[in-house]
Amino acid sequence: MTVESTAPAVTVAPARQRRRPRLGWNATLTTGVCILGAIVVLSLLIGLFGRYSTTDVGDSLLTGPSGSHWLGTDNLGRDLFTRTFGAARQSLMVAFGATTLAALIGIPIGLVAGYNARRLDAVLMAAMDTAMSIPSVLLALVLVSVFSPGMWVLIGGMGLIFVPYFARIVRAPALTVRERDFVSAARIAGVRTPVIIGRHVLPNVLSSALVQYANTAATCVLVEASLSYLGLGVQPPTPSWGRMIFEGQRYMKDDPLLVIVPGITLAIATAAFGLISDGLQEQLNPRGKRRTP
Amino acid sequence: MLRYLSIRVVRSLAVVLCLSAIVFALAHLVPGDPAALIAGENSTPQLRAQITQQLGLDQPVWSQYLSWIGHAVRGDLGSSLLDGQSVGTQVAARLPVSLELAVYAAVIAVLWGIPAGIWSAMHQGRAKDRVVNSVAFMGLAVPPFVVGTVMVLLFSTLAPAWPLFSFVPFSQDPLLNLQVLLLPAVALGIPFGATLCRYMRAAVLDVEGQDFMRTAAAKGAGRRRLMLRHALRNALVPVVTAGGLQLGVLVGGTVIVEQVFALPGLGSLIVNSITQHDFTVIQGAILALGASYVLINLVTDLVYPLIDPRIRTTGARRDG
Repeated sequence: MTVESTAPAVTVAPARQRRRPRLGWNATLTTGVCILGAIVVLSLLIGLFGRYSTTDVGDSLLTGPSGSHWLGTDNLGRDLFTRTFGAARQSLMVAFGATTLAALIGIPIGLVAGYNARRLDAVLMAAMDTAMSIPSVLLALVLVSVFSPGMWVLIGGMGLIFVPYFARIVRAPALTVRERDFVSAARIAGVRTPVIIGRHVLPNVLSSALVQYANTAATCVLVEASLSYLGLGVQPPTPSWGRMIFEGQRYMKDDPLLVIVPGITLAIATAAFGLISDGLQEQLNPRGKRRTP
Repeated sequence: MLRYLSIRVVRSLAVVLCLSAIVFALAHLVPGDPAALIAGENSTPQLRAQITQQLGLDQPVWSQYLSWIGHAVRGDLGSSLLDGQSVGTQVAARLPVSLELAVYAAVIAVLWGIPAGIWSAMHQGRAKDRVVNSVAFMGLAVPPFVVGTVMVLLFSTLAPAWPLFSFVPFSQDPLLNLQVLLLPAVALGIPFGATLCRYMRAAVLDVEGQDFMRTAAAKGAGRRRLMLRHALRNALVPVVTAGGLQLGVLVGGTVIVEQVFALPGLGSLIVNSITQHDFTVIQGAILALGASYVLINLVTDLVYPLIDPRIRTTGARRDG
């Protein structure tokens, strides 16, 4: 028997570390997805079929709820309902854009660090830890002070800021998977490292990454709102929950809805991401410890 | 023990150095000539060249960085590009306000978050647990500036006598100072406490399943002694780790809450300087706020050996 004929006999074990989690009905996850879906659908419908645009200025100022303006108008006569859901578009675009960017950069870093271990791992993780030791709002402030604020700066900046969180969360399972028999088998069988990482390690870290995705998206919604509140995020007249709350503050004694409506919608959107994160956690890791954000 | 301490101190220094490099580098990426900004739009080239030389802007970047950081270590953060005021003086006047707010908020968070987490864990799965969980969940979803704004609305209509936008230093009138800072501290303390509550609940539930708890119960320890003496001490270790990491969110939160309540802290200085493109002030203020956060974190690291004796002997840190 030659060496060549024995090599293919080594079978590569399936990539899944454990049995595929049973996809049952999960109340927490379903509620979160439904709320988020409702916000997305409403914001799209209003953008397409709404009677007003988010920047339409009207004659009736600070009217309060009425038949023509369901939630009333702001100090420039703009429709509050339209603006609140128009702001949802900005907010979710920033959240998904930034989080996706962070995941696309962070997951490969975490995989490489976890799989290669030793020196590269030490260097990469030291860099990630240092970056995480700086409060993210401060980093965001540095970025917007240099580049003039706007949606794309928010997406790019926050995307970079949250890279270490993905790298960290992915590294731990990557380290464990590395030691598993099916990975050693693949290595002995001569499978190249990038293929092992892509086919065997990546599927095993995806569940952690997915939970982190929901957590990070929630944080992005909050950071975007905070920066916009400070005037350093989405720029007027484009609506944003943070900016609407800031602008409504001056008139809130006359019309508290100007502050309360965007505030509550913001909270509901964040809570939806929180529910999705908690639900995914239960779903993917039912016996394990329940982590907090 | 000594090894543990030295690693922590070196790491903190590395973080501060890294932050200083980021702050310095980004301010130099800004398009436009700082000399032109100082001298004004219609200044002569000679004047600009003179200012460039004075500020050392003609030197290579690394030597500018070294001189900046060298001065910063001695407390000299340069002077404002706009009015020439010393950045160090401004930062020194405002830093205590931000730090007091952060500490106040942390105290409020610990006061409600930790007991709520324990209480919720003791009634796991029952209605009380679900109520606490929902409250903590909502606390995490509503950002501090929304809570702050709503509180301003409520207090200005229901309790007009409450001092809202008038800051008084602690040294001048401690009671009034604590009253003025109460609302901002509560606004910040709600989400931070919610985080602590969730961590605490998970940690207590985790500890309750351990063997030593059963042993202690079998030896006849009462429910109260079991909780206070055996469970809490072990449950606190991961909570301190996680809480320490969350302090950054708290420091970042002060920036925004100060704006809501018009407090004269570092946050409002940073925000104002950003809108006015006053880069020396932005650099100095962000560096000071970041450095004080690192210092707070270092202090939490030093608290560790007190609650976890394993660190005292081995120097290893169990990251929970």
